[in-house]
Amino acid sequence: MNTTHAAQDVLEAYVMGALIGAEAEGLEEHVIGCADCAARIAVEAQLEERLFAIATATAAVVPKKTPVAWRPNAAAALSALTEEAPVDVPVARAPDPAPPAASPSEDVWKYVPRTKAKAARWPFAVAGLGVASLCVAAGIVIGTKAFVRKEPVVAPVAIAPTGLPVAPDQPATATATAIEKKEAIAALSPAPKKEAKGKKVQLALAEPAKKEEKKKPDDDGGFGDLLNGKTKNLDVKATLGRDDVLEVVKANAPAVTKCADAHIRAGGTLPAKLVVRWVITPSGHTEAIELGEKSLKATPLEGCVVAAVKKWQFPEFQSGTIPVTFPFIVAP
Amino acid sequence: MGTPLAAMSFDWSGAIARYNRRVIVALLARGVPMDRARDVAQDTWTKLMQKYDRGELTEVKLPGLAIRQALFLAADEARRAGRRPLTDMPADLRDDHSSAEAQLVTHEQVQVALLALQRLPENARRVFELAYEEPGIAHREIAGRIGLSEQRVRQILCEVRKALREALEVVS
Repeated sequence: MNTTHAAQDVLEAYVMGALIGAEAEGLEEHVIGCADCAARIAVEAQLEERLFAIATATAAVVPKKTPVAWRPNAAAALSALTEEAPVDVPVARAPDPAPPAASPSEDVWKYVPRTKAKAARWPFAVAGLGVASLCVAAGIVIGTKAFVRKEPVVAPVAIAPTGLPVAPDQPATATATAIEKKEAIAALSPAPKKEAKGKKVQLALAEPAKKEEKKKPDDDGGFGDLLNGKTKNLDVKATLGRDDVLEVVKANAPAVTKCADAHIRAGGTLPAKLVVRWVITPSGHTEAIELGEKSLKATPLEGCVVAAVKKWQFPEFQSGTIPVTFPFIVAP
Repeated sequence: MGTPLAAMSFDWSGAIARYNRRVIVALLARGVPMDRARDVAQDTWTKLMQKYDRGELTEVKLPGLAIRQALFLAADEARRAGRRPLTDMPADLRDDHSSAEAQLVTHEQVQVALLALQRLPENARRVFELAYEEPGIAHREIAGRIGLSEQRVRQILCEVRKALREALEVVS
């Protein structure tokens, strides 16, 4: 057994997973026989675990690494919700593959009430509604230009355009599928402490495309919680409005298109909606950027999108942070 | 980081290679000594594989599932041996709301940590987010995504740890 005490940085490297192979084993052996180092590594390990906990707690209100399946809870909450919320639920089926007629000509942008688009394609449905403090309730169609060069790149995904009302502010009321509710709940479930889920989801479903950040303050008022600093205090004056966010996103969306394009060219496929999440800090910077779609995690696409969104500069606001869940509609 | 559930076989060796350390660290963090932690981690994987083979696992979300399983095994072992129970145990193996981790930090600590994080340079925050919001991500991967060297990523992580350690010490 190695008798030299482990150096601090070695202990840290170990708990961070940076020590590999024989080195790690050597340290483990030493720690087993050395009470002093055992105590120190326990401290480091505890810190490490706390960091994970902190990251989890602060990672906006988005569904991430829920350690275990959310289904049972989501299902329960879903049924509760279905009873509660008098929401009409037309299940928008697989959309007809008609390409987005209006949007391309207008521009690459098109607002798509997220609920319907979501309904159209469940695995990629966005959880955003009612989840984050500020879910911009509109999608932006990307790729209308980028994607034409390969044919229907995204296989049968003619998604958003179908029959979707396009006015940005048009409340996409009553069009939540069971699935999307489920999603919304899935999104909620990892962060149950901070939000009364039923309440929030219901609200979101009731008038989703309205200025959600406006609702939030009342909504959040009651839940003093983990994310206090992170997700609330969205006083209208002190924070960004939906339009502020949209404006920046619109101005910068070509970057996302580029990423998506590169992804397609590299042989990848895209979901109908490329959901991107990020958090806006009071300085107007973005952080905690990620893609909503699990299968795209840790892909070059995510790297590209992260790098792009990282550069976005939103207007500054007073306090809190604003988590945004933004669906970019992938036009075929 | 969704773990794909292959139709027939799950890449257990890959999972173990990636998450075993994390499981051990989770045990160490709760006061399990290294030797037992290693054994328990091993048992954990065996157990999970068995469950998987029996079709009892509908979803294999790692490392959360493994950590939970490990903590339960450790708690069980401690109970049987008449040792003091583990601290910070998750309430239920399938309770996804209160993750085991969440119980390691108090509300106050989270707040303090948040403040500490805000004071860090942006790069550091980004590294922190990547490293800790996405369990199992390799430093090399973080480096690739941010455009830094792996060495620098580790350096930053050490700085972040230092900052947060200090912040958390103040609270506790």
